[in-house]
Amino acid sequence: MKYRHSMSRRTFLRGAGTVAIALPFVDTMMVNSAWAATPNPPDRLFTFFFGLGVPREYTENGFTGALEPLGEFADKLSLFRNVSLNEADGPQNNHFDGGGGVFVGFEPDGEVAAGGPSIDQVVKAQVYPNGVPTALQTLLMGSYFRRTRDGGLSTTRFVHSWRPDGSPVDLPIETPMELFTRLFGDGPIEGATPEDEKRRRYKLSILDTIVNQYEYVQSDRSPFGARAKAKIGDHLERIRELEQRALNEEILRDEACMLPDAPGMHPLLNGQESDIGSLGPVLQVADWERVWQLNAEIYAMAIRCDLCRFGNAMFGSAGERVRLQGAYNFGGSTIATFDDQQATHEYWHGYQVGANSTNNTLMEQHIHFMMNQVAFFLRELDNPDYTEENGRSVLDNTTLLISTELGNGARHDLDSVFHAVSTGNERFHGGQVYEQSMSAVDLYNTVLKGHGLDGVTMGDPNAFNGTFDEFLNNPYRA
Amino acid sequence: MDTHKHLILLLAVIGLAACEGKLSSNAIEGVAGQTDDPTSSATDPEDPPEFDGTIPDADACEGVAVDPGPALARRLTNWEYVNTVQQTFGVDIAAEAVEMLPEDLRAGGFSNHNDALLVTLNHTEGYADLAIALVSKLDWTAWVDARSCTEQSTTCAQEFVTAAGAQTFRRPLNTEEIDLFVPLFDVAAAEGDDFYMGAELVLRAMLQSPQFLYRMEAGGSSQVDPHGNLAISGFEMASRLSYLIWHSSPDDALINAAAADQLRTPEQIGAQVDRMLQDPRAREASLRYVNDWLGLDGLDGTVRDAELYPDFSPARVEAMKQETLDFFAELIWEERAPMLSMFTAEYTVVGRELAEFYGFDGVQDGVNRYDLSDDPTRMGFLTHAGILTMAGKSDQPSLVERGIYVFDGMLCGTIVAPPVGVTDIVGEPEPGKSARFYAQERLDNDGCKGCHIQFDPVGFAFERYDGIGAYLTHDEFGNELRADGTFLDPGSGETTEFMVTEDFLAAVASSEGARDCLIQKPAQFALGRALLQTDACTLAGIKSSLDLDTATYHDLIRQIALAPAFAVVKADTETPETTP
Repeated sequence: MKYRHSMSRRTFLRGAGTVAIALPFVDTMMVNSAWAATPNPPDRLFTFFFGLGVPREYTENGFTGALEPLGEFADKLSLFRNVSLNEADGPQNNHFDGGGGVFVGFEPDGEVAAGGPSIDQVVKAQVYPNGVPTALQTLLMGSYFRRTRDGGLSTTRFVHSWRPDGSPVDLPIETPMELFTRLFGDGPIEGATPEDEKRRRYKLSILDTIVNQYEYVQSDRSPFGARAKAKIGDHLERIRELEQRALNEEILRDEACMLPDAPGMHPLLNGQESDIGSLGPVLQVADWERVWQLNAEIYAMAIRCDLCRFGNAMFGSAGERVRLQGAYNFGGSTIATFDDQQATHEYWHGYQVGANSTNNTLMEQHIHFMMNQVAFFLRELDNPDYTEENGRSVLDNTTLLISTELGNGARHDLDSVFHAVSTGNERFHGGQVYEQSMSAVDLYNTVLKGHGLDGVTMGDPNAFNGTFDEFLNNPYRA
Repeated sequence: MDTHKHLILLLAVIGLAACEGKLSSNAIEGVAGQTDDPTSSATDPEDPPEFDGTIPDADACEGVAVDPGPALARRLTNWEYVNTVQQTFGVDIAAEAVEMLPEDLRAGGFSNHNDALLVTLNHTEGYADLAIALVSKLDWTAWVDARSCTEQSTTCAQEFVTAAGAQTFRRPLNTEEIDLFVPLFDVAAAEGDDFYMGAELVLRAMLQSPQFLYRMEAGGSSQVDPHGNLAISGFEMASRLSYLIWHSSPDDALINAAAADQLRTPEQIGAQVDRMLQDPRAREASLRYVNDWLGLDGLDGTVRDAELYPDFSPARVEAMKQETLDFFAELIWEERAPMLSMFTAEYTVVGRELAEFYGFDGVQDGVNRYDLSDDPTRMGFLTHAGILTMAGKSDQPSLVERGIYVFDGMLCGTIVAPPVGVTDIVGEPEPGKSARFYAQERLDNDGCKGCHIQFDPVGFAFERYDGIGAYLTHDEFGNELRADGTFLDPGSGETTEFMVTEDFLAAVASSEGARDCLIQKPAQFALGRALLQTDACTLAGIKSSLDLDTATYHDLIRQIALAPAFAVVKADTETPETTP
């Protein structure tokens, strides 16, 4: 047995918070650096969400200043400075409308549902109408803390992948261990006994049986209505993912992805515990970076190994509230030594355009920190050791939309909401900074067209002016 | 800037235009019942709009089709799952469920809202693990022996599946369903295991099947009524009643009644409701409803500045939460009092710490009921320290937030978010300027008052309570605190002047908004989804069947169960003629 599995999930959970983090493991997972990919990279589309936003003034000089960490990817991304998300502006506070409306183009439907599908799910459904031939249909990952509204979970803060009916595709995985488990389950255990193997076979047999049950409810013979069948269909998809994961062994062997060591403990709060009180948790910069980077490594590996082709990664939720402490280093320099006396959220609300204020400086430093985490993920995808068969990196071959919840946080506006788009296997130009005003719906529909989905549109049609290329200079190349 | 302050600032400057629509639609333009069909809308009939908040007159609903809303497959909430396992197998699996299942979300204020009942991969894994845990808690050999013969034979396998399925699914299985599970005995045999292992695999599979995890209704007959509905089966009615009243699966009496087709008439249903409301499970379920409705979990983890509130502690938070639950237990189950008396009741039920915090006379050890007829500052549950703490949101309690809490949760008013680009006009209290000073500025500002006039005066009624619910007459700057204001009833549009908190609470108790809300909230919880405009006449029917001045929780639940829409499911146009 090739696989290693140092710790069961349950063991991990019982010991959480008591042991230091295991160091990066991704380099150990590859058999060799000559990455064997499929001849043609598959259609892939991921979204990336970061909380609180980047005011338009900070994008004036492209990927510089607070956006400096993204500078190394300037040729691989195009920046859109004037994308309006106002089509998502509904009756709720814009933390919720922006958080639930981005990548969708409709105002959310309450606090737990979007107004329609997100762009990753639209492409998934159109390109793979019979399901994606990967272990996971969609993978959501995030490192975030704020999640509640009036005591209840508000998914519009932290979910950014939505089904056609606007319901959340899943809840984002927060911890490296949970993400690891999502991909590999408990995995083949070295030295597994015949009894272990039998238990594993029994689990699969039970899954087979209940799949029949769920398929029956979905079938034409079933007496249940369309909405009930749709709900059961969601559950069926989850069961099939569970089945598929049990079969990941073969996938991983074929794709030359070795199962990494399970990540160790981490020191961050997660789940409901992380969103108690009005000030947000105190976080050490190094701790948050370390957990995020572990998550980003695993997530990037899942894309490289073709375990998923659609999903969302997130750094910080909508209206995120944390208090950072400690030195933040970038490029060999200390950008800031954070000693937040208030929640990050408040720096955005205290923003004044053009002011030489302490608040603005602190907000800018926080944005820089966030952009550095985005850059880490991009770097993982762009790792030259794992280029795909066409000679390009996974980042080059993947469509990635990067966006956020608000334009100017002080105004809670949705006027100029940061959007950046990767080249998506030469579908789109990189290295551009687009100043033109447009609706997010226009941009999303342009991306759909780039994926060959002519005639497929999404978002609020009242906000749709046409695909981006109809009034710009052919930004997509497919 | 603290978060709460920012919210205050934003709410302070809500545009007039943004709010006038709702206020006028509720209070000025009149009820939807004045149209031909109060449930009608110009939108897609397959996707009706959300309820507009106005319960029409029952007269306006004459001749309107009974509409049960969309037929859903509702996943059991974690709470319902635990209760169902307890009811079905006599096993307590609550601790394991907390560990193994993702927490349920809340939507529309309730954790049983269909939109929030997601299924993630963690759910599917959790259900698989919980099935193993459940089997391990049973005396497995005895459990199997009690249900079938145990030879390796198809006969015994079918006998076990039939018996275990009827228990697990709360109804008899049909042949096709039985045949789906029987092969698991062959799987066990092929591995060299005995009948008991095959039975274990069957039960584990049943516990992960849609028939166990979901509440699905196909109707009890193929006869579509003139309203486009199917009457639900007796077993479906048994489930509806048990999940409404107990948040759990039917007991034997309900199942037997269903099997004997004795859950058909209003008299039969009413008799079961009355029986079920005598059961302790009904009490527990009612408090669960109260917990959701009031958002009491929002108190969890509340912290306060230790310098301002040195005695505030997690134990205090627990005591606060418990006070409100104990109060409602007293009101609903001991007093059997009208629900509207929750605003004006002259008693509470607390332990020593809170009793001393309130300054009650004759404080004793343990949890006790205290007569408050001489203490109007603690009239009704809205003056509970926990409610005031939670609704106030911070060390310096927000008048706006407290107002919104009551306006939204108890009066069912609708509030829209402030428009973007609003400017601040509110500052912090300081000598000579109390929170009311800034609130008054909002009410004097044309750009603010359209919305704030609805809920700021509600907050005025609680101005004398600090960030942890202590009663004060002056704030820390020496500003005199007041309790007077003008209450605008969102149900009727009428205004009432009040000078003190108890007058405000009496006005709320007699308001049309509170009466309508008294129907809407439990109906929403019973349906497990957002109220739709197509529910308007169902709500009207429930309302007209009650004397709301005297209606108890029992009365409300009974009338919900007897509503015509409770007995039918919408026919699907693609529904086949036969049922499984």
